[in-house]
Amino acid sequence: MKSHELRSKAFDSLMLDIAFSKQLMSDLMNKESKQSIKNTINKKIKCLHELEKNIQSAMTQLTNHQNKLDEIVSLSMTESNKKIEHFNQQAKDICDKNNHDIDKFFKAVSSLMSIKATNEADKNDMMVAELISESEIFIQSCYLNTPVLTRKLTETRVPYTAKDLYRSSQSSNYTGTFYARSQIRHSVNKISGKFESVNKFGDKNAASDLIKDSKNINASNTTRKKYHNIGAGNSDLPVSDFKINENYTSSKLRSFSSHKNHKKLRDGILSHKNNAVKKLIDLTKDDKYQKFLINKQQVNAKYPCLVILFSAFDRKNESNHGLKPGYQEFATHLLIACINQQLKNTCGGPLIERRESFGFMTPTLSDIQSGLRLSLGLVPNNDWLVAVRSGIKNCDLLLSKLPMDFNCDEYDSHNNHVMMSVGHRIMLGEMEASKIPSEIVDRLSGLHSKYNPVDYNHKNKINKKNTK
Amino acid sequence: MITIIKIKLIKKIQNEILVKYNSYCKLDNNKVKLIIPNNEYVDLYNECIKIYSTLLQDFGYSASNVKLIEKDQKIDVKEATFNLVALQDEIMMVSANNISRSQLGDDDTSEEETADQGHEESKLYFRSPYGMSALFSPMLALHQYLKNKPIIYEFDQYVYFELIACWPTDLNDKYFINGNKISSNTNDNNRVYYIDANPCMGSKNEIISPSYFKDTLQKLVNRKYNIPTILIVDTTSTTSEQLNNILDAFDGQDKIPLLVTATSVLKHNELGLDAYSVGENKVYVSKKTMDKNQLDFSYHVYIEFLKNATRGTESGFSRKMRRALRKAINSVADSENSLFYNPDNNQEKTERFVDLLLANVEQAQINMNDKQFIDMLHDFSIDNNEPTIHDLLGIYHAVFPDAFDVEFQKLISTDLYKMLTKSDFVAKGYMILSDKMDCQFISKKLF
Repeated sequence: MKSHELRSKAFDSLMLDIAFSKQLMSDLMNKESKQSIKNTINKKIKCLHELEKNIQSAMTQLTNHQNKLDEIVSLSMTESNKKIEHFNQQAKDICDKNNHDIDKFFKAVSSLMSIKATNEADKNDMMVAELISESEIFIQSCYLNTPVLTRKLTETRVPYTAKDLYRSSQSSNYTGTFYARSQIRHSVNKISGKFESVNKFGDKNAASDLIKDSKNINASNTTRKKYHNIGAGNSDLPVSDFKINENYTSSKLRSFSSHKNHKKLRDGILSHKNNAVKKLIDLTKDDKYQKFLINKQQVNAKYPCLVILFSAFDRKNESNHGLKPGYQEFATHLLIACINQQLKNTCGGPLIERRESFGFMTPTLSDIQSGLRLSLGLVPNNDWLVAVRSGIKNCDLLLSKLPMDFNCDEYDSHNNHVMMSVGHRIMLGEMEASKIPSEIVDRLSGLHSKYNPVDYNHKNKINKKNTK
Repeated sequence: MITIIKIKLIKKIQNEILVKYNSYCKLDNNKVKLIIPNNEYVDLYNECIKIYSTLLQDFGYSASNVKLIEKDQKIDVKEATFNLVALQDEIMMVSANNISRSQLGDDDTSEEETADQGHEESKLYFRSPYGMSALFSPMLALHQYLKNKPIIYEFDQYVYFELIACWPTDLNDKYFINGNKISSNTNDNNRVYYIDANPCMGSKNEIISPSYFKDTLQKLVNRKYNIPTILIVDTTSTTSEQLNNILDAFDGQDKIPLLVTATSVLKHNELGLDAYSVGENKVYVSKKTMDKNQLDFSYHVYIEFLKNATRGTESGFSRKMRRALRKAINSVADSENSLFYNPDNNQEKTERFVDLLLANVEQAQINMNDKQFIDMLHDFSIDNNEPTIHDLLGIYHAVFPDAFDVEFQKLISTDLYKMLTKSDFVAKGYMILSDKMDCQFISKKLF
């Protein structure tokens, strides 16, 4: 159905509605005896008359616009056809690349471009709507006044809310795997990828010359993911054919070029975090840990994170630095579980998450080879810090109680998450009966004894035997 | 066989753990804990929420759930943090859809900035896609400036670990030489020194003094040989106060001409949005070397090289996003209930006006002995941010209709004078007056 037909239909229904309500009013008028009510009804009828007039005038304007529109369309049909073809071609290309449905794509585009096209409107109508914007906007506003059509319009919007996604990710039933991080953190490929993407650092050949193994660059080039937010023009979506949001032109954004407020806010947040770190270190001043070590000197560095070191870590020791492989990962998750348990009991939040990097508004924890780094977010009050401190204490106790020497290499790298989640499990045991139940300890130690000692040669021998 | 059993066992354990983990997650889910947060927390939280919601509005969306929290009242912090993160996510969803399809027309990376007072600096930010590239680009620029002369880079004790881990192995020895490993006694200008302003203390028994930067700078300056040309400072977590201290120390010496700051913007600059990664450089020149004019090193040319090295490397997405965020911050900070609202500008205006007004009153020789009235007018105009200079003029006109002499007209703009003569404007003045002051008092003065 074409858009003007829809429009006339909507108009007819509206007029019918008005006539109907008028009829009702007049009936009421005849029945009612009180003068005051009669007056109000009279007023309403007058309003209806005015409404009718307004709508009729709007309709005449609309038809004028429609005629103009038709003229323009007929004149520039060839031109618009070309554009439409171009548009379709682009859309198809994108869909081929991304395996999306064309319909989905159009829906997304129509919603994002805020072109208020109807559900039935075909692609031609959409293009025309883009060509003649001002008059069309007026028409659209009339569209929106009709109740039936508005419902349809809202349906065409993409039904996403980030909140729902977040909620679903926070749901208590956790069916996915635990977060497993690759053990090889800072491989050559990763870093050379960083250089490579900076293609303006000289020309590409020169850039590759700066790095030792230029072969690696090519390898990383083919395997590297494309992120929507990294690299100009990296997006697969068409760029130039669409209009930008008016608020969004660079000239407008540039006009607010002062950095003063941004700096102030950044300073405020940073000093807030630094103060919290100071308080935390003051709190833990007299604590004695067996597995952890908190360097009080770090206050002077004014680094907005609390660094908790492993006392067993030895930088000079080349093989695993005196820690079992996977120990850092395990301790990270155990500490998070311990602190979060305390937080849940006292303030309720904000809870700590496992995350790389630092400097967010919510607290995160990650490991830095020699220890753990607690990046603070906004700290609600001192109770929060006290809870964190007792969490660290608990974790230290648990780590020292731990009956087995963890060895992550026992499992394949794919199963690392099992090791991590054991932390939560021990935590659970503690929560259920203030001590670690003997069952769990037994099971864990049994697990340990079954596969202990881990002997690489032994492993290899078995594999060799199997192959033979 | 053993391996197969192992895998089976692991799977079994895994399932058990998943079940237990779920029950762990469900714990305390229904209990709501109410606490009274700090004022600082409330201020920063509300500021962030406001900024997020204005950012969303700029994208053409309305935030689905914006709740500000009040001071000295019990709140559910869990819910509050949830709202904060949800808003952040919403911004990311919307921006990913909106910005990536907008025009990425302009090519320049750096933009003009107003300089901080008291320090010689480039007034320009040089932006590259990562924090790491921000650390690398000053060295690369020097390399290009010295016509491909090999650069010797030296690390401080507490420098960012990724540098120590990767650069000595990754970078080509022809062009970039690790200064910590070679021993040379030269005083060429091809040496850079890396230092972290806020180091992460990653090993035991490390000692660091509060005047850490000053001390190391002093050590560098006291060297006989191997004095670096450029000091590259990692300022990722540095507040502007700390930076000022660093620059003051740097200005006090004349051996090292240049200081380049390198900041990873992802960390603290974008309010935890985790939206874009940018590395920022800024160049500072030591004041003493500027005064002595001893530079055998043209820093203007060096800046051009740095500009060339970083030009066009910032992604269009991050540029747009960065500007949009800054715009949101500025527009929130301009509103009165903002944490960083500075009424100084408005106060200056009103104070100036009141002075003007009183001077003019004397000129017009109107009986203004009543000090109370003057004081009230004074208080009224300064304490309340509501009435603007226009309103005050309206009041003035309402109270003293004959007082607009020629000199006064010169002081205020002609447009304003035209506005003053409009009747509704005068009426507004009356209204404000009658709201704020004792009615009897006004009637005495007016009629």
